[in-house]
Amino acid sequence: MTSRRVRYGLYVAIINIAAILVGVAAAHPQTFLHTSTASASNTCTHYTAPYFTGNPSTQPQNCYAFIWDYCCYNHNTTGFALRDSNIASFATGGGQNWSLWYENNLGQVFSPGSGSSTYGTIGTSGGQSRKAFCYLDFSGFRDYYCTTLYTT
Amino acid sequence: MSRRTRLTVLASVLVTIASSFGVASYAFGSNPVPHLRSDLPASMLPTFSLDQATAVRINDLIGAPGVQRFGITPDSYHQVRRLSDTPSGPFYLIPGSSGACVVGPSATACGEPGAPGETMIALVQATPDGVGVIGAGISTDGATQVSLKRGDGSPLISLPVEQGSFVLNESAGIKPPQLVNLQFTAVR
Repeated sequence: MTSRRVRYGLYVAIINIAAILVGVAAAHPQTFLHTSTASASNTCTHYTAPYFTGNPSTQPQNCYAFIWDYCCYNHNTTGFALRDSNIASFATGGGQNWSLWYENNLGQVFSPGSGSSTYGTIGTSGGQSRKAFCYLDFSGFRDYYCTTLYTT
Repeated sequence: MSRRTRLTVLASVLVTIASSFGVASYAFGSNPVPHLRSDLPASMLPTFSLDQATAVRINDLIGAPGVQRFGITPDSYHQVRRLSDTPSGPFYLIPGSSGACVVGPSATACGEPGAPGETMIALVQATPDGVGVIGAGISTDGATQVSLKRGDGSPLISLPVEQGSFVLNESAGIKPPQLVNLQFTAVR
């Protein structure tokens, strides 16, 4: 009898846990629909920042972080995209100083903006994007670096 | 299983679903309202509304990830503060339900000023002709100036903070190459 009651209690508990999930999912479906595009790895696989190709508006680009020895320090720090409208955006994990630049039509490195925030975007005219990269330096010894190669 | 037991289990499940829905709705804030934190002096700046075309352009410039992350809604564009007017265009402060954005003529910077470790939102950008640099931002209560330093730590310029906001005019003479590795520091 006791064993039956324990089993019964277990069933009710499981059903109620499922009910909690149903209630939370109904209230906030994004919690269950969220997908991450950032890659993650604990191994050092890059000694130079990789280029990304393809349309960044449909194919999110990831940034990589490096320290002095250019060995990967953290793989999921920033997101970076150069969209069709030629707007670059990126996000950082905290309120850091950032700057972003890329090559202009003449192949010269151009710095369209800099700031202190957790998220930034830069839009430029021209409609074409070439090689772009963002860079963050917030402690004097750690560099964040990413590259995107995309031509409209 | 008796009918009474089945009814008890069913009632238990329904009560659990209803209560978890209520708690989750409250916790996630299903109806967030854009606002600036009260400890940001810039919240005292006069507000106004932007026309729909300008709001759409700014929304596109912030981008979907930023709009979602900082809680920018149509109501945000009815609580706009003007930080600066420049020949290249204005700098606006747009509040969200979980942060705020400083928006310039072709760039945005968003964050949660007042949150731990976040003393400001600063944005500087090259002018459209690529010759000069303009910027603006907001700082938390108590900051008297914002210091801009080069990557090597050497000082570039200090900007006074008035009513919680600061402005970098093109007349300051900063050039786009100097934007690289720029460091912003709030001085109290």
